[in-house]
Amino acid sequence: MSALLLLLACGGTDAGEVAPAPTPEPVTSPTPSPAPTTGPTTPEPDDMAFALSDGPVAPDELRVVIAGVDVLCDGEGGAWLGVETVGAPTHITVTPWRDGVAGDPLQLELGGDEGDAFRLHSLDTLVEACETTTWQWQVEARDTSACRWSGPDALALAPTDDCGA
Amino acid sequence: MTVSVALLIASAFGQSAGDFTTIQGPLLAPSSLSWGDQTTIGSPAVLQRAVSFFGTQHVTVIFYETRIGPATTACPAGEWGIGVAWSLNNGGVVDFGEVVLPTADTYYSCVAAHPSVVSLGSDTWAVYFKAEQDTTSCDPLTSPWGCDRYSGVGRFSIQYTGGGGNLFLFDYSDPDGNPVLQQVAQDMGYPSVMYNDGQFRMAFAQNPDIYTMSSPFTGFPAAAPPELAIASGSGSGVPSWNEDELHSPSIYCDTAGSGRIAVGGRDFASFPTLAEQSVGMYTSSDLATWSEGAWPYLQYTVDGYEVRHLDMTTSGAGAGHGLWFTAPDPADGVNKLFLARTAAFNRRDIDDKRCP
Repeated sequence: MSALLLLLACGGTDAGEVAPAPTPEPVTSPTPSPAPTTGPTTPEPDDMAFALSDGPVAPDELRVVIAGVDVLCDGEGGAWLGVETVGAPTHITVTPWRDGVAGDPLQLELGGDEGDAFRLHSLDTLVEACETTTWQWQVEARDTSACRWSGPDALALAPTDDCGA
Repeated sequence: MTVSVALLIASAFGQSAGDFTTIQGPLLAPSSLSWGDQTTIGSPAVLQRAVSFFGTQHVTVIFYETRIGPATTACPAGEWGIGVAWSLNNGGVVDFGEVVLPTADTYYSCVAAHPSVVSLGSDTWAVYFKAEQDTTSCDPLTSPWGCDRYSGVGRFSIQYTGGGGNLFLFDYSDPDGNPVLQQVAQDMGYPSVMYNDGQFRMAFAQNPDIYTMSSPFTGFPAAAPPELAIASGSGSGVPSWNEDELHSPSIYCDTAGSGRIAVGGRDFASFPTLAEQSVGMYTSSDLATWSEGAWPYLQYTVDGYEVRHLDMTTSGAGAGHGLWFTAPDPADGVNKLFLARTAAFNRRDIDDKRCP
């Protein structure tokens, strides 16, 4: 695989862009300023560099992210709870909320293959009022964590902490 | 790298003021790659990240496919891999090399091609690709995805990990060990994915038509089968611009709950000789039924580009459209990367294919 790949950026205007019109010279010249002493050069986009990891990184080196969540209610009190992650989570909990009150957190079974970046985790459980429950998903990994709300009150509850809807 | 305007032929393109007004390029040519057999570049897939460096700068990351080796008995389509290139703001496109190579004993032992990228939020993206494998050495006992040549769709992730000083970093993963969409049949290709209204939505070509499917997960578990979205031969005109084949769909957001598919169409005089190749547009207000739109089109016989792969992007929350495409360069016939843009398209403000 590639060695550490670096790009020294080319920040110029491309040919499809219209260059700004030159600023006209002022008719009356301002009082000349004293010549600046030698100082730091203002950085330009041309000074930027981008890098891609030196080959693919292991899942546990990725920041853990929630890619998707889903709840399937069977109408008889049973539910399937699923969350898909990127990275290597070590602990996943989902908390049911009803009428703005948190219930007992449930722990999901870790799924997926150890070498995979994408992993699907799930739990079959019994849930009271499954269709009207709002869920707070919390995923923890070695150094990072992620959080998401889903369900009917997700937008209302999400601002109550730093966990996005 | 020199980026030049190849053409400025606004009047040739189409039907309204919103149409493409400029084609830029070639932005990237195979001769500038440091890997592969340097004969072709195809199938662009674009993401953008804004970074702070004395103001806001925008880095555009462009995945592409290229050929590594010729057709063999083991790999009838040849060997193909996926690379990545970069562009800052409105600047040139610079290749960074390969990220996925055909690998023995995997479902992509011959081909990793047709990349597509979708945002997962949190500075993370999923990159999908079409896979083909060597069936002559496939062991069904160690290949749970089976031994069909067309093994499914691979995926890997890329993350922006931050910057320090003037250096900005992205990490990427290996492809997962098993493909997704193993249930998709032969001749499937060009997967394209957006996230819309709580679901990942994939469009892909199943020669000669376009199918879509949706899932809350990037893995598209097999619960819901793909559905025919657009049938070839359904476009306007006599014969229709997509008379014989639809190819390379690019699905993207309109607003939450509605979307668009830009797609290539072919009309063969006598296969494989083209009478026409076009880029058309379909819209949907429910993401289930798709209607042909009147905007925009590129036409081979009018505009000079036989578009083989495309990725439609928007900027400014849909205000502008930028069509990244690969086509034989009219100057030398070599497949290269181009960008067709509407007047409002802003390369410094490319939207994620995610709504909301």
